[in-house]
Amino acid sequence: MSRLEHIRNFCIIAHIDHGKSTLADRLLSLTGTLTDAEAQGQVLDDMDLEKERGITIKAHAVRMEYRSPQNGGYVLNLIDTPGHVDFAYEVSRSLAACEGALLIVDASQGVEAQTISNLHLALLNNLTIIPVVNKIDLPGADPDRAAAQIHDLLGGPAEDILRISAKTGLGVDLLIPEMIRRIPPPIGDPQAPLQALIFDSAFDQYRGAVAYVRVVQGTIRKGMTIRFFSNGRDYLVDEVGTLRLKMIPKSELSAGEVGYVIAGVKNIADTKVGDTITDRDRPAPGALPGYVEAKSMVFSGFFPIETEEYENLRDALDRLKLNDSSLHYEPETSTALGFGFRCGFLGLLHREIVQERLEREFNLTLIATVPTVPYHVYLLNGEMQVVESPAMLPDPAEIERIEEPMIHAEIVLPTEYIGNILKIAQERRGVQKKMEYLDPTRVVLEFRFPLGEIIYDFYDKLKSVTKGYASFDYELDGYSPSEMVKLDILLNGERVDALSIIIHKDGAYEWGRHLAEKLKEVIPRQQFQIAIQAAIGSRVIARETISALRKNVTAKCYGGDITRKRKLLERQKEGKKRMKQVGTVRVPQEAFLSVLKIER
Amino acid sequence: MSRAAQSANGGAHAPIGLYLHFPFCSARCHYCAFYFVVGRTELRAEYVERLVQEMRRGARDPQYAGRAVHSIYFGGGTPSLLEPGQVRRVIEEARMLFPAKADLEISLESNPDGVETTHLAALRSAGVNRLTIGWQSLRDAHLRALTRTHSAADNLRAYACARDAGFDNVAVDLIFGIPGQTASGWLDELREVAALAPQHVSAYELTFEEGTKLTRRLQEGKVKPPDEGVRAEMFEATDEILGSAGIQRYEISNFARVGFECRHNLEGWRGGDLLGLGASGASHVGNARWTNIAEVDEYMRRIREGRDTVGEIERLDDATWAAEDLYLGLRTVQGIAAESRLQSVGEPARSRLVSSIERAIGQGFLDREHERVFFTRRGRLFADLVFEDLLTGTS
Repeated sequence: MSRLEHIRNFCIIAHIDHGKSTLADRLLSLTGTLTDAEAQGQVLDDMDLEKERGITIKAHAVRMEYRSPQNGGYVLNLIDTPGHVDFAYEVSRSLAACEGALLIVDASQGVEAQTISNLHLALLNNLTIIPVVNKIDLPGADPDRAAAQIHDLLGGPAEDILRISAKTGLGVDLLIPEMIRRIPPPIGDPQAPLQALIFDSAFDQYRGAVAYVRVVQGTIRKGMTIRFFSNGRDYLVDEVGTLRLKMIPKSELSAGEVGYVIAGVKNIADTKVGDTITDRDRPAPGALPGYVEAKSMVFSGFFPIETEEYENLRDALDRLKLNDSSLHYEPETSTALGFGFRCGFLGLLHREIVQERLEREFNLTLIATVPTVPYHVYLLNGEMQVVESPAMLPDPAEIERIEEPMIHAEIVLPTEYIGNILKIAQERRGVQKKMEYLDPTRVVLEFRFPLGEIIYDFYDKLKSVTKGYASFDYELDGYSPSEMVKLDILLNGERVDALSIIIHKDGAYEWGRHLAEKLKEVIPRQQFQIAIQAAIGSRVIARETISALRKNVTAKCYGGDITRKRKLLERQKEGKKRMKQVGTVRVPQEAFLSVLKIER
Repeated sequence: MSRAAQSANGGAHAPIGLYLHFPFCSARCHYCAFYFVVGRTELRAEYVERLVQEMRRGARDPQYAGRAVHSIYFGGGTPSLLEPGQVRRVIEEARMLFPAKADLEISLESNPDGVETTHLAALRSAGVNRLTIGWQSLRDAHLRALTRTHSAADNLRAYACARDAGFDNVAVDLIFGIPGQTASGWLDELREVAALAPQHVSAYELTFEEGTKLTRRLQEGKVKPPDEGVRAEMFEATDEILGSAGIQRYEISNFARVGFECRHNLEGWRGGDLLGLGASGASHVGNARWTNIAEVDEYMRRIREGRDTVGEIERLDDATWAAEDLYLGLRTVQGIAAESRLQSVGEPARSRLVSSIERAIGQGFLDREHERVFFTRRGRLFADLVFEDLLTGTS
């Protein structure tokens, strides 16, 4: 038997919380890759935030060794996949590094949206799927129902569906022999010109960017000069190796193997996920298929509440960027919020994670502006501009048409909530594409949505109208022409740039009215009347008035009263200090946050 | 104590005010947020003893020892529920413990219900020389809205009793902004008050204090005060009506004939030191402020056991202390010599406080004459904004 016969490259795909990380830990301890004590925590998720949210943000790979009683030693490379909708491309690249996938379905939850979307990706990459029903030990488990749903999706003999409890270990010992039996070994020629797929990367502050690779053809060695196909840059390989829980240096990695490459790459942006590494001196004729430059699809302004924190924010973004090549940012100035950054993200969750990390790990307090998507704005002069912020939208008189990014969405839910979902879909300009029953009680709905309609509060809304039972996943689906307008908010005639948005004309009136009402609630009365206007161009579509403050004086002030009054004012002081000035109007930070809570 | 020497009112050797809190009431008023207990008549005699005991302690406190007293104030609660003998005992004790100024002002707050001339006369002979009567309103409907237990007729009768008892310094307390009250109705009340020619009038806008029943009813939408514009109108018109009767505003909520300003309170607004005794009594020396615990049984127990009664204590930094003095001083019509008060404040706080005052002058809230800064007529309505801005300048 050849060397490759004893390698299996696989990943685990599952909906959030269906037990992917627990199973990974279980496999690690079964193969002796880590001790039971080490297995206490879920090893693959190393950031606090990931653990808290139960999601994996950055992929890693782990090499396990397994001795089969019949056939000797095997190398099992587990390639982890990011667990969220925003990272569909990254998931697809991890899948492309494998030959097989364990498809995990929770025995009580059944098939969910991510199960389906990940399955589609895995099938697109020609992976062998091993379906596994997990959590069969739980009181609410219905393994037969989950298995039936999987069977409907995959076909194949029912006995091919394994039943386990990753938590108790039940059935897991049978899993590895099944993987070895069913997943094909990698193929590839160690002598061929080098093609190594980068499926992930991380930044090491001492050694630079570390590329996680699957060698598809040829061999990569220490001392070799490699070239990245995407940018043509050359680097000298310092070290290659395999991954256990730490990096284990080796002299080489050859076709079929999974490991890491360190080559003095200073910038993580040069180790692009999906890119192909080749040998400078004997290059492969072409790159591996499937590489796409990751594009930001959600943009938002981040502004520090304390203006002095601008430098800290910049340093923090620089630090995050080291490990997150998909984060983009450039300085942005707002008349209302001062100096900040326009940031680009893969999707909404990515945005939330970055904001949370900035606030938690770097102790910053931020105001984030309403997220927007990149619009393609076609001008009468034939030019096309990509507009990533309301401020950049050209004069409507120069615009021929605007196109907005679209998504294809899959929503899995119990049938009784179909009506609620259809209503939301209609409100969000969704077009239903397909409806398919997983079983008599669960259904998959497919829609085409404008991305701009789902980038905020959509997910919360979805959860709330389905009592948390709906699951959702999406992928980008081109651009479509749309009647978008820029809606501005004016306070006593002064435009509040941080509150402007690009919105579909049909939703503009509602939005403007709600936002004006909300602002009336949160902006404190001042000594003059304040007019709040929502306007499209010069046309005012909603208006509210905050009447002038007539008096603010404590009636009784003796003895202990003064202390009470002072303490009350001191409590308010911090909030007032953080007020932003728009023209003559002082605007509290809640105003900028409330815009993110607008119902529509 | 060197710091106290910088206070607006002459510092560590200047006369002090003596405040005695008597937290007993015969009924609960729904708007009141002060600490009080209803009934508990059996406690009152002992309470007076504990008050005297605490006063002796205060007299031994180096912060107060040997200092003259300019005023004694019986506040509450309802101190008119005290027996004249008890009042006499407290006053005599105070006069023994502290050197009294010849024109010592001794005020006592009273409620109109059940007041008798003989009782008031006895209080007067016990030493009380200034009687305040908690009228609150001259309209029965408003008194009911405030859940007061007396009528407008009781108010007038109590006033007559005070005069009959020989009081030549009578103050009445009024409230405006009561749910159901109109601006013209308030002006009529004021005219009736002016016609009776009291020496002193306190006119407070009704405050919806946190935790009161009235505030709960406001939040539930069951009561609604007059609009803010109407209340501003009421506030401003009070000046005119009382002023034309010779009762001049001398503080945000206080009006008096010349020479009849309440010295106890006036000294307080000037930053003078104060010894506050009794449950929830608040004291003030220089930059230190402290308050006794409120609960009456616990207060008495601690005094009995010789323990400390302080609930909260705070020592202000120079800037906050100055901001507080400025605000209090500005509450009086005379205002305050701001620059000299700020001399002891270090930079950068001093500059911030100065620019805060300049800002208020620029906004038309404050005006200046020689070294004194004071509220304009309009600025008085926004006094708390000015205070807030001053406090923002302290850190």
